[in-house]
Amino acid sequence: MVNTIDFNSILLSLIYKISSLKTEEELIKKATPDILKKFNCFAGVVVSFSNNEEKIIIPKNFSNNPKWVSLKEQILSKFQQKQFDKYETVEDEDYYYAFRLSKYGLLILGSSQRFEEGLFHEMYNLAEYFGKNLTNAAFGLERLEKDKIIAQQIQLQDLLIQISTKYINADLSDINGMINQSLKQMGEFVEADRSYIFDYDFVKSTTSITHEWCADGIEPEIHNLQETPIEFIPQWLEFHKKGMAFYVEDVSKLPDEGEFGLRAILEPQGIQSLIAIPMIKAGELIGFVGFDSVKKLFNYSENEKNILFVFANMLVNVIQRKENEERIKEQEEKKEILLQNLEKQNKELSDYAHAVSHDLKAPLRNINALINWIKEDNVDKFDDQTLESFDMMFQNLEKMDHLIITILDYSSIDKIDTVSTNFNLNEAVNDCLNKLEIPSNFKIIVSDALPNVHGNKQRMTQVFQNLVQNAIDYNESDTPLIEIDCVENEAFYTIHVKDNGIGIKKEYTDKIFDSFMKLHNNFNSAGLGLSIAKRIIESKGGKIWVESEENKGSTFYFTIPKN
Amino acid sequence: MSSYYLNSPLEIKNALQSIQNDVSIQSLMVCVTDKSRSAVASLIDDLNSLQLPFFGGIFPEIIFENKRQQEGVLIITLDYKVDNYIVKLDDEAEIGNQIEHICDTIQPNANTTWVYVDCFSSNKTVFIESLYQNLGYTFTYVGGGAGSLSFEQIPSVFNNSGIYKNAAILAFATTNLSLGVAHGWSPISENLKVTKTNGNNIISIDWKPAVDVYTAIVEQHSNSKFEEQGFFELAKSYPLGMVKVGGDIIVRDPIMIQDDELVIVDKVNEGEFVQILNGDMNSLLSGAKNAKLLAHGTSNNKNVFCIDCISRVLYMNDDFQDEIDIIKGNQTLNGVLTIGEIANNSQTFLEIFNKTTVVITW
Repeated sequence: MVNTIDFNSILLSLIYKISSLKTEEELIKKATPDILKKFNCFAGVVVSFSNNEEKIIIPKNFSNNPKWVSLKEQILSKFQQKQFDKYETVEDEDYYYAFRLSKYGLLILGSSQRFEEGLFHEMYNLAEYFGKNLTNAAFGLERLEKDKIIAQQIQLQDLLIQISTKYINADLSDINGMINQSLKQMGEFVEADRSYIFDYDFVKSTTSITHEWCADGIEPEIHNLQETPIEFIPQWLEFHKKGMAFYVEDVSKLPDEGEFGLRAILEPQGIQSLIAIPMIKAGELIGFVGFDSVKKLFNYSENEKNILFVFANMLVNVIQRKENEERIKEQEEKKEILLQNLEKQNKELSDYAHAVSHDLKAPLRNINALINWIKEDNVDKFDDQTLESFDMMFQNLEKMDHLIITILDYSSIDKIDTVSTNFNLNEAVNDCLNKLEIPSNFKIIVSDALPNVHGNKQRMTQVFQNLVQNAIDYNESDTPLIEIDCVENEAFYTIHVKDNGIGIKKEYTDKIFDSFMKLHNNFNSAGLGLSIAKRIIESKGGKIWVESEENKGSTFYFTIPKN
Repeated sequence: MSSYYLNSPLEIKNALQSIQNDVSIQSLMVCVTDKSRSAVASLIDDLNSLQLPFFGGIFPEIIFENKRQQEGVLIITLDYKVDNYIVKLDDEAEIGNQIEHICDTIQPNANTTWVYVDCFSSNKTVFIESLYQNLGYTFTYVGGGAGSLSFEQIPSVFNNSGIYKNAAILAFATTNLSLGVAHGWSPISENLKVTKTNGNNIISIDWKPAVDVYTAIVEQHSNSKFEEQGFFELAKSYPLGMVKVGGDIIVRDPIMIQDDELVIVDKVNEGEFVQILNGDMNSLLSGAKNAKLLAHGTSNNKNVFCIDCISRVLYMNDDFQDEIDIIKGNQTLNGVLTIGEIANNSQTFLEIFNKTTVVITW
């Protein structure tokens, strides 16, 4: 007697044993004795259905037992009639039990004790499990065949990955070479003798080979199949328009449709099997990739067909990529020409501005001198109104001179900025402050720890000059204040010039750096100060910006890269 | 049958003389205690002078005339001829071939084999399975594991041709033996899955370290600690059991912990389910009584011999005499205390037992 838990444990231990054994021989030789031990049996036999032979008899001398022969016949006849999955019989007070081992055969056990009814049923389940394992192990060849197919599919997928990787990474300048190479690889893999790509030209209603690979001894067709009328291959087109492969497994089995029938087209080329997969780009049929088997028939599995579709898509992608790259290249070339033209025009404009402003200065000075002489010679003759007009002329001349100097300066930034030295920014700030007329009520606080930088000191002075001048010009505070300081980080210095002036509206904070941009009608301003500062800072790889709040003040920041 | 206990050269000389004079003696079974194993080489020479077939082994102890003996030699005279063969167990693949070859040469009417096997041979299970596979269900098998309690593998089986290490001896005879097998151990745990093994060692049970699982259950049941008692002292009362259909339990004896693995005298397969067993004097003696009853049955056999597990002795100590007294009944008991027991009257597949009493009568 054994309880259910113990019995389940016995079954589980046997199942574990069976599952740990791999080969047919191992299963029979190692699992059968364990079954005998656990079920208190004195004999056990495994009979194979394939030839009704005993694969194992435990003990060996059981086969010498005269009753075994009749017992075996009796049991086999019962199971061959398919009436039984298990069978029980008694011979000379010994009990014999037979269980179907799935498709493999039978397990026959001899016991001096009768099995309990429940046990007899449970043994059936164990035998089924044992049998399935035996069947799988015994039909290993079939499994090997399946493994081979799987291995082939994996190999084909690997090949596709390889081709795809090549397509992705390669320089597409030799796209035709790459496509021909992949046609060869795929053709060889599917044991084709010819692989090719056709494109469809629906305007001309023709189709032409663009790429072709042929195995040794196979004549190329690329020269014969150019601009072939589509009407010659209606079957191809019909399938391809539906996005389906056109597949002929055996050309010799095609119906004879006369001179222009499919068979008549294929047979002269020696083709026995062929498959042609459509190439569809953005929903548009652009061509097809085909594989001809000339030397022998080739049967494509569904999986192989699917993989060939992937290959066709890859071809479409690489062709598209090539087209895209060519388009991008063309655009790049156009852009480059535009940039060169723009640069040239800028230079010409700059040169022109420089030349004009430079040439204007001399006549202006002459005018100034002449008017001055006229005024000095006639100072006694002119009335007050005339003299006042003279003063206005001088003011306008001065303004014009300032404007010309500023424009000259602006246009010369790239030209004279060649002298670079190491200097301390405090020196540049001091130079700037010395040059400016600073109202006595302004308080200017300059950090005495401004850094040493490398560059054109004159230009940096000019930057400070423009920023400080702005801070002076647009300050209505009773206690005007300007602060200059610097913050250092790993890559650059950030310098700021802060004031408590009238501030700038938010919408103008970007525009103020544009040339000739003036937010206020300042008679003396040319509207170029901040744009000059910007140009100087950016020419050195830095940035300039402003943070401002109306009626509270502005802070101009600019950066100087350390390197 | 007659028996001789030899513990001195003089006793050996006298016994040999006596045996030589008894023409009814056709073969000898010789059981040598581990403590006297140094005498085996000269003993083999002396026994060969009798020109009788003999076979035997070295065992932890012997029983002579109802008393345990830790020293000396027990000779059992047999009034039937035995054909004995050594099976070398070094090469697993060759074991079956050797037995097959032996089967071709034994007497056609042989129905019994005495089996003594090196208890520390790693191929013991293969040997036992192969033996049944080749000899089959028409034979009676009886014997046990030979070797030393030091757990050191020694040359432990011998016959007329010499003494052998990592080997088994088979002594075939045509005789009728009546067997009784019982142990008296009962489960105290649920079924536990042996999830990883390494040879005879159990590494994990229920996916946990085997030693942890075993000690937790045993310590809880015994209310004792392995640390305090020592492993063997506590483990000898808690063997493992493998259940079979019909409710029989095959006992397996854990003998030590080695590298955090539970070392078992005989193999427990990975994937097997085991229970932890326990017994007391009463249950074990009840087992012995049962074995005696099974062996005697309704027969009037005159001779009684026992193959009893040395670990039962280690468990019972001096009280083992009670087991001897039960088995002997009103007869004189001789026997051998083994490390693993073999007994099968062909009703089931052959297996090796641990912590079990085998009573043989004829």
